[in-house]
Amino acid sequence: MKITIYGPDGCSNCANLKDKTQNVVDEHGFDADVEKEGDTVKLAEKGIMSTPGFEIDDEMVFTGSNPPEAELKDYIQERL
Amino acid sequence: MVFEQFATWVVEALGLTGAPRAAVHFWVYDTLKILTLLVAVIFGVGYLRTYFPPEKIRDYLSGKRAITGYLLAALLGIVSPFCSCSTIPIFLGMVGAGIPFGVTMTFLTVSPMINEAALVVLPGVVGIELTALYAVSGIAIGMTSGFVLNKAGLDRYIKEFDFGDSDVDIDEPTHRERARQAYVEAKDIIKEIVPYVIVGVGLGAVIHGFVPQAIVTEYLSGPLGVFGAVAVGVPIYTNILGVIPVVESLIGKGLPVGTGLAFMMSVAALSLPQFMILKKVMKKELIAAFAATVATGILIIGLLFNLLL
Repeated sequence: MKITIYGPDGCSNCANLKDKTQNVVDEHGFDADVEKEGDTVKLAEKGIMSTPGFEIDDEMVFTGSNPPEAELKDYIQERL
Repeated sequence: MVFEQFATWVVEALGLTGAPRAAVHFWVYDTLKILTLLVAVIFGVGYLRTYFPPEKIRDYLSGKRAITGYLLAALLGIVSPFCSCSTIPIFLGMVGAGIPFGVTMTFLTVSPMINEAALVVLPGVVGIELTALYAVSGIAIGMTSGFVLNKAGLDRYIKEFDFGDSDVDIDEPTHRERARQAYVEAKDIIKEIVPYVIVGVGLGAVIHGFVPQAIVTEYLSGPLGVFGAVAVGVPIYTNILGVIPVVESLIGKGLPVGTGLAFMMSVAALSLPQFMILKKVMKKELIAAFAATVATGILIIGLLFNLLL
């Protein structure tokens, strides 16, 4: 699967979410690529107003929050 | 106050006297005072903000017209998050939702210029009257700029894009989730602004301790001072909270209030990095017009206050 974190450069919360997601993926050996998309126009095209946006494949799972790793793990596991 | 005593203790312990003593005292006291206030306010507002997600505000704004829309956009700009990395997606979302162009520009102008943290820190530093003046004139500049840019038909310079529909279900968060979100946000913001505050207070401390009053009253106090303040302020990129201590010391040294306000506003409202981000969504004609309108508004406010106060 492909996990995309939408967050413009300069948003440290977004960078932090990406790192946490990567941790979770590594720790549990999930088969997932974690990417970050920083282009604000892309964010707009995805309809994101509150950063960061968290997308798994083509599903926007949540926006505007930075949940703990345990919660991220659940989101990913549910969609494997 | 505890911070006052602590700062005095520090300068005593270092055995400082004269100008260095004044400078270090200022630096310790102001840093502590500003950071403590910030933590409290940012957490509090972050918590309240979870009740007003931007999507909700956008929907609310889209039903409003003319003056109400402009005023609400300005107020929204005050409580919007700090980083332009957060305000630009909100701005785009509003544009995409068909909110009138002028209203969205008002939001974009006010957002970096005034924020709730500055409004809480400022009264302790420059007094309540000046804080109120700052807020009211900032809102006035934002509303006027939005209105003028709209009248000039500049909305054609916004680049076209399709604003998507994010089909995220937003559940009503629990109190614990709200608190967590406010905590994460506060931590994030504090991390981001601490360097600006420390450097800003440091500069303020140097001015406070070492710059002779005569220099300020002689060179910075004429009507030209306001132009100078804006010219210097626009390219500088820092957080409003980093500028406050600098302006505090300059006003203490006799800088006219209008010039101080103009400097603070121009540093906060306009900056080169912000223009770079905006370039992705606006053509340069609009960015130039936006900068010129806002800078003119700030000049007028600065000159006006120097004349009246």
